[in-house]
Amino acid sequence: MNIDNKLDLLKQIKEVDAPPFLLTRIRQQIANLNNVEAPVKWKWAFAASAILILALNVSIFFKSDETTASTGKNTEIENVVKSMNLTNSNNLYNE
Amino acid sequence: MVNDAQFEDIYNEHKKLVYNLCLQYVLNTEDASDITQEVFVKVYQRHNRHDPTLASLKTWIYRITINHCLDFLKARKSKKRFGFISSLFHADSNEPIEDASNVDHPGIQSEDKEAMQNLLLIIQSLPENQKTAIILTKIEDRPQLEVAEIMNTSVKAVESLLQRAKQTIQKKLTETEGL
Repeated sequence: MNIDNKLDLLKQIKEVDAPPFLLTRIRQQIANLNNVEAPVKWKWAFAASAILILALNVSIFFKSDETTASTGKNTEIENVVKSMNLTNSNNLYNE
Repeated sequence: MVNDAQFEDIYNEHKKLVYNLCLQYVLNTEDASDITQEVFVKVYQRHNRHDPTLASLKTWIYRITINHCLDFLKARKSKKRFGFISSLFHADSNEPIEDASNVDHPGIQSEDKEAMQNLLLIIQSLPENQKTAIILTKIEDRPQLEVAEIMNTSVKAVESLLQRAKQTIQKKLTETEGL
């Protein structure tokens, strides 16, 4: 049989009605989407963690200020660099 | 966002189109209902993004429906692919099996029910674009120009897709009839 004749079989498929309850279900789903809100516990947990992170950042910021202000530590680092022959020069293997 | 009265008008005007198109893709009333529901929720949410100068509301709804159906079929296919693995862990996992007995299409009422179910299963196994071209032209009876607009392509491309789809269907029909 010709393929077009075979495919013409598909024209016999009848159009059917959508289920009657569908609109109610769609409305319900839309209403649920509009009402989605984070639980109060989550909001408090989020606020607490944000404050904690902020506090940590501030404390680290002030601590790092103190360490850079103290010059004693810098000389210690310089001594280590000299003793280990560490250099930022591109001249490799001390040629 | 669209108001309730407008949405109800859109729903009433397009519900048959969306539900029937879903049925042609998924061949199952339950899944077709679920996808129709998702399509209209999306229409509600994204109505303000629809640009009437680019595509008519009907074309836009056609595109949303087709995309949802193809996504659903992809998900079903991957579920089937990993069905064996998941069945090792979950004894009750039910992988979908695509045979004529699983087709639940209330629009098929002819005497050649089995032949039509087999034909629909062959169409379902086609590549996405060929499947869409065949469904829109042969089942939905849309003109090629409209199909090209829905698929965002040229009429020539639609003709070519139809030609390739017909060749594949012919080949698969010969194989099944030869068995």
